[in-house]
Amino acid sequence: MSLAGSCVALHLRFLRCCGYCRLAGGDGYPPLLRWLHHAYRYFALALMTAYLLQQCVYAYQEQTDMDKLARVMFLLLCHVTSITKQIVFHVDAERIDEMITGLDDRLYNEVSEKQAQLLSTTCVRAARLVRVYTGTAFITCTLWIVFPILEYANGRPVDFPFWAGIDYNHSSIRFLLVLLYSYYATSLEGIANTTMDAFIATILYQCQTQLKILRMNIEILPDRARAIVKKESNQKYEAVLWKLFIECLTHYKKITSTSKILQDIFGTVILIQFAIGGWTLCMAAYKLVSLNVLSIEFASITLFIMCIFIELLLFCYYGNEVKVESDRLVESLYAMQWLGTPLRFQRSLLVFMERAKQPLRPVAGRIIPLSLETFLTIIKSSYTFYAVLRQTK
Amino acid sequence: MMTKVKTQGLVTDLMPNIKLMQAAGHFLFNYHSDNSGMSMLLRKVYSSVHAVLIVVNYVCMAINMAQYSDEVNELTANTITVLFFAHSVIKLLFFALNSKSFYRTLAIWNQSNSHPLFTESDARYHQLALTKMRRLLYCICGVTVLSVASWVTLTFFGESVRFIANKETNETMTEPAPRLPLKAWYPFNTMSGTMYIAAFALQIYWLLFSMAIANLLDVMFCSWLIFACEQLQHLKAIMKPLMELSASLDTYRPNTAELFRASSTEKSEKVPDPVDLDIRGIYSTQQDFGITLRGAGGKLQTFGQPTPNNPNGLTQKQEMLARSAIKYWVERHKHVVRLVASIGDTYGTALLFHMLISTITLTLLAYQATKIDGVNVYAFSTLGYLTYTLGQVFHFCIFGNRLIEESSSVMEAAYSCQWYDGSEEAKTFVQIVCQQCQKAMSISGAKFFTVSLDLFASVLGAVVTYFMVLVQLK
Repeated sequence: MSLAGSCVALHLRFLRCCGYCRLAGGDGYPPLLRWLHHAYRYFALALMTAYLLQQCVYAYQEQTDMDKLARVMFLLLCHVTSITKQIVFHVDAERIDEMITGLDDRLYNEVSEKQAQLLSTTCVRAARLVRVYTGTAFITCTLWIVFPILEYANGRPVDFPFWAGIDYNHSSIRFLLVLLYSYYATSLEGIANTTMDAFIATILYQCQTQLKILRMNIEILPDRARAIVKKESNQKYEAVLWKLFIECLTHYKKITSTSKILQDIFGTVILIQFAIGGWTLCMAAYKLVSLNVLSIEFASITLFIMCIFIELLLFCYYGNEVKVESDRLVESLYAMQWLGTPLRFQRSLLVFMERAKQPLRPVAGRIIPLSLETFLTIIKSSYTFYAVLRQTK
Repeated sequence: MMTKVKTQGLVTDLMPNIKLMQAAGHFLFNYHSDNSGMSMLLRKVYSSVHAVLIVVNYVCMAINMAQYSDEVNELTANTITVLFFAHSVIKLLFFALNSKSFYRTLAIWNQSNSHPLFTESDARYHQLALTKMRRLLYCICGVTVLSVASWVTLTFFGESVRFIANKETNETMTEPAPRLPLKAWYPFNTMSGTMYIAAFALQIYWLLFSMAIANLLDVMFCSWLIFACEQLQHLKAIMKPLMELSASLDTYRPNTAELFRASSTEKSEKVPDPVDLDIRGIYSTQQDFGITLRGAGGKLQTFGQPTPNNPNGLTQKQEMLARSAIKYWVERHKHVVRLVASIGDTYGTALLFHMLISTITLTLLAYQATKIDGVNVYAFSTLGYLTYTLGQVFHFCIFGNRLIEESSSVMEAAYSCQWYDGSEEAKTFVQIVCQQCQKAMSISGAKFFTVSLDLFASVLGAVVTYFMVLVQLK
């Protein structure tokens, strides 16, 4: 895999293990394995849908009990966002593959040494992000099965936040089955959800890195042209300058198209995520204040709140980074030694500057830009909901 | 005898500010003439002692706040004081951690280009910047000293009490507290005697130094912005002669001799460095020179005689001066852009913290302001806090706003000069510059917000809204 493409390698591995993302097209997998993996993916989708329905039934049953309702609601909402992403991965698998193979493009990977350093730093950080984030989600899910076990061990009735259809309080085997089912479903969902978020964020991060590389290339464009002419004396300066300029233009077009594909595929999902994320935060906070500070449940709900927080922050932060980086493109175009280049080149530079003035703004659902302002708005709204909820108690 | 440290660029201009910062205890160890190990050690010890004293007293204030947190009014008042001085602690730590970034920004203007025809304008605007920076420094120093003086004076008025909540009756009682400027927990009894005087002296020192620490860093930031604005003014001012110079190359103009006057006489106060008049200092490579000639259409065959390619009969030297003027302008503008970018990178996070803390402080102050019931110590202290906090925010908002305005007005200057008479090269130059200047240069608080008067207006509006709402709820 190319240097740029390897930034999402770990994410894809996790997702393929969870049965969310399909196997890579070109790799030499036998058709049987491919078919089995296909079946596994459908199984994962069916399992998640079943779990969601079970949670809905439970929510309907317990609609009068505020505490239990809150407990199931925030998991349900989280689940809804996860399922929408899973459906997108199923339905748009073709375009996702196209986007991933697009990262292996020559334009993204023909870089100087310093820029290769930048790319490998991106990969390292992206891998670290997915490990930490998914790890936190996994720990949260594991913590969540601890209290049912403790309660059952102490002989108290256990209440799983979904409709199981069987009475699990009086039979160890049934309890174990339900517990394992719950653990499998929640951890699968937790791992896959966080990995998908990290995947989207990493693509945005890669766009930002590519923009940085593009800016570095642009700033020294005439100098690079001069160096090439010096090395290969048969080339003319103007022709080399022109070629390098076209390359920069194509690079920029490629980055824009990657960002656009990402937006097209995941735009609606991110919008739903924002809408639900704010609401989930306030429900989790509502549950949090009624718990004892030193209990395990407090720790797990805090971890959960942190996960949601980071989820929202990831998109907004990397979206903001892409916008900031693309804003600085005009500066870089200005910073190169254009004074002294042929007039024809300067006029084309003007057209490029005109295009570069439109920043690359990743948008969710075509309305909400992914930026730090959006993040602050969501946090503020979520606090408002929470305050209102406390008042109605 | 210590030799004067050789400084250049921004460091020379900001030397008083830097010296004051070093005196106040910032971890600023560069720019001394004597860099021996012993004096370095002494300076580090000095800064560390200040830092320790400031942090320890701050922690004592925080302990006091935690101790008396039962009663709402007492808690609010103590929280406001603690937040107020959080600025100082944060700025001290911020500078200590980020000093490399500050040194880098200060060193950006060490080498600047020059052009014989524009040295006078450059010097004039530089002097303007210097005057404004000095004035700002004196003003802020004066305000700091005045604030400390009025704080200490206010301590002697009114009752020296603190509020506690009586747990049984749920009423607020008053308990005598030491008559000190700041309420803090000390391990010794400070009600009276020598300990009281010692605590008082410590607090006066602490007030002065912590306010100085916070304000001097803000002054440095604003001085950078003043410098950048004056550079932009200089660039705007030389746009017109630049266009005329460019036009003189290929259009007949009646008074071309006037344009080159600055190069023949040395009437500016600052004697230009010999390298300024050396043409080699303007062009960095032979290539530049060659390509420009090709681009402008043709070599000059004869000098001193009007020809179709040289309608004004310029000498070779004059022609080179004219051609290099645009290069000077562009390089200087790029230099200013780099400076502003560096300022934003260096100070952005500090601004973010400042705004965060100020927002919380102002909200609490709005609540406090609703409890003012007459002209007394409480009213004065609340209004004092309010004006000071709003003043701090206004301080950097106004300079940030000026930068935005200056940088976007460069485009107007480019348009208002006679660009249509200039060469093709000059016209393309104007176009490219306009493209860059359409996006105003601004300082952002770590990408969260832009420092401008809009920010100040929104902060002020929020405070007034909270105040109105709270007054209604009373």
